Amino acid sequence: MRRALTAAALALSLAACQGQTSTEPPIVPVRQMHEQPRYDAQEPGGYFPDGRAMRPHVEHTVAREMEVDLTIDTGLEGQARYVDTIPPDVIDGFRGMPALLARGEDRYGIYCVPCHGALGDGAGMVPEVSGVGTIRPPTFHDDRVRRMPDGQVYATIRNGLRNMPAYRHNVPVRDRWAIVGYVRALQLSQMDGR
Amino acid sequence: MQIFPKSLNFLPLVTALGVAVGGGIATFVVVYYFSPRFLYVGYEPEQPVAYSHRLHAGQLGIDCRYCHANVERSFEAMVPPTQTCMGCHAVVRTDSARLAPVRESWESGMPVSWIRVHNVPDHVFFDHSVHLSAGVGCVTCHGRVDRMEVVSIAEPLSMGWCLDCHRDPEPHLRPVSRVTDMTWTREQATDAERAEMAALLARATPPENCSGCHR
Ligand code: HEC
Ligand code: HEC
Ligand code: HEC
Ligand code: HEC
Ligand code: HEC
Repeated sequence: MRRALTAAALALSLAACQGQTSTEPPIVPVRQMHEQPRYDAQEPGGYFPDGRAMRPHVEHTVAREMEVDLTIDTGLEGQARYVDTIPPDVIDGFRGMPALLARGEDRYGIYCVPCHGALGDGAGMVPEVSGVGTIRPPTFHDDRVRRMPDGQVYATIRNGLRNMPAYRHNVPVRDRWAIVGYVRALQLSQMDGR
Repeated sequence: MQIFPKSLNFLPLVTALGVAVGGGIATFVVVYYFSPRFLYVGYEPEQPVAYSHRLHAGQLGIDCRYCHANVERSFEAMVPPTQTCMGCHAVVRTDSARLAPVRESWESGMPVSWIRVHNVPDHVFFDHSVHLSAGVGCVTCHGRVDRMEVVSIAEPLSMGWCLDCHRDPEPHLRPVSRVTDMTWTREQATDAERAEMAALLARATPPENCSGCHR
């Protein structure tokens, strides 16, 4: 009896406790309908050579949720001139400037602050921690950036510039315009009375 | 005539004791070891890249939505594409051996084969965007990701766990602007945030019937 109890106690103490980590996949005793014959997002699939079931965007095609207004999408008027101000359509979409700026502040905090810093002076965490002096972004608070047309700021977010990556794949069109609006507000806030 | 030895008089007692002790152990084993808390929590597969949330989300303070950009808009949070990593790593740490698989994926166009950690069965319908716009934070369901070197499951993700919250979501709600904030607590809420939480609670209709989650 004592031996059996000792053995049981040993077995229990050898088995892991709740909350311990493991690199083995969870054991699922009953697996009915756990894996259904369909592809979930980002599941690997065997049909295409790159192994993705979810297809990346094919160039020169237009997906349903894409922006069709070229000026709003590219920030360009005609072929080569940047628009000077945020298109009124976008502002209407946000139901006015205050909502656009609030959205812009929120999105700026997510996508821009890591490099440009909360004040837009280029003192973000990434240039600092990585210690690569060359990737320190320029400040927004000089005349060059202040005089940029809104469309050019927008196009920089959309297409990237030098070391800055393009953000068109993770920031939707209207959020990019909202960020442009917020950058303008930041510049105004740092104008020291000029 | 005695057929059974006298010692057998103890048989009922021993049996009763055995059933009690054995049954107790069996119950404990089932409840403790067959539960999602034991089976799911703590699963942390070895990923193809030694990517660290503690560095990126914790130390660098990058918001979750920088990488998991779809989380507010779609069912799936999605592991970021190589493009997102290369946005920074085309200039930062370009020679790091730990980033070699990412650069390889960038050049070849083949995806990095991240191993899925959190996964509810296919018969369960789960939608991130609904929960985020209702004001449930990442930390409530995924734990302190900003402290994890390797992502591991922090909550059981079982049906009982979903229902516990759906029956009484109030203590888990927070203002929508705080959903990715890992350190925010309800005690810190300002009056405006309290009002927002009350409005969120009044609007929330988490399903408790089967067809809400098993569609
Ligand atoms: C720099 C990009 C980046 C940021 C910022 C980031 N993540 Fe991730 N996340 C990833 C990558 C890459 C993976 C896949 C690899 C892994 O599982 O470790 C991942 C995986 C995860 C997973 C597990 C996915 C699965 O397979 O189940 C969770 C949960 C998660 N992240 C939550 C968060 C939360 C919460 C935050 C904000 C605190 C955050 N992430 C910030 C890149 C990021
Ligand atoms: C916003 C910029 C940014 C993004 C996006 C980003 N990283 Fe990083 N990453 C950094 C910085 C900064 C460091 C720290 C470099 C240092 O310590 O010098 C780093 C370090 C790393 C390291 C450690 C390198 C080493 O040699 O120690 C790995 C691995 C890594 N990142 C993987 C990834 C992966 C995978 C992704 C995509 C999901 C990603 N990173 C996205 C900025 C970023
Ligand atoms: C209500 C709980 C809950 C909240 C809040 C939540 N998640 Fe999840 N998350 C889950 C569950 C459940 C899964 C598994 C989903 C599945 O298998 O489809 C998951 C899966 C994931 C994955 C794996 C990949 C994928 O696309 O499903 C990532 C990455 C992730 N979550 C990130 C986040 C981030 C970032 C946040 C906060 C912005 C967040 N989650 C908020 C419960 C939650
Ligand atoms: C921490 C709290 C919490 C947890 C945990 C949680 N939920 Fe929810 N869930 C909510 C709230 C709050 C809502 C209400 C959203 C609304 O009505 O806007 C909701 C709504 C839903 C909906 C309704 C979506 C719709 O389209 O109306 C589904 C489905 C759902 N949850 C599934 C799940 C599943 C599956 C899990 C477990 C893997 C889970 N939830 C875990 C809080 C939670
Ligand atoms: C809040 C969402 C939610 C609701 C409501 C819900 N379920 Fe579930 N159910 C889940 C999740 C999540 C799982 C997966 C648990 C796991 O992976 O361990 C599950 C698993 C199950 C399973 C186990 C399947 C298996 O293969 O192990 C059954 C059976 C089930 N549910 C039946 C029901 C019934 C019957 C109802 C109505 C009374 C119901 N569920 C309501 C979320 C829900």
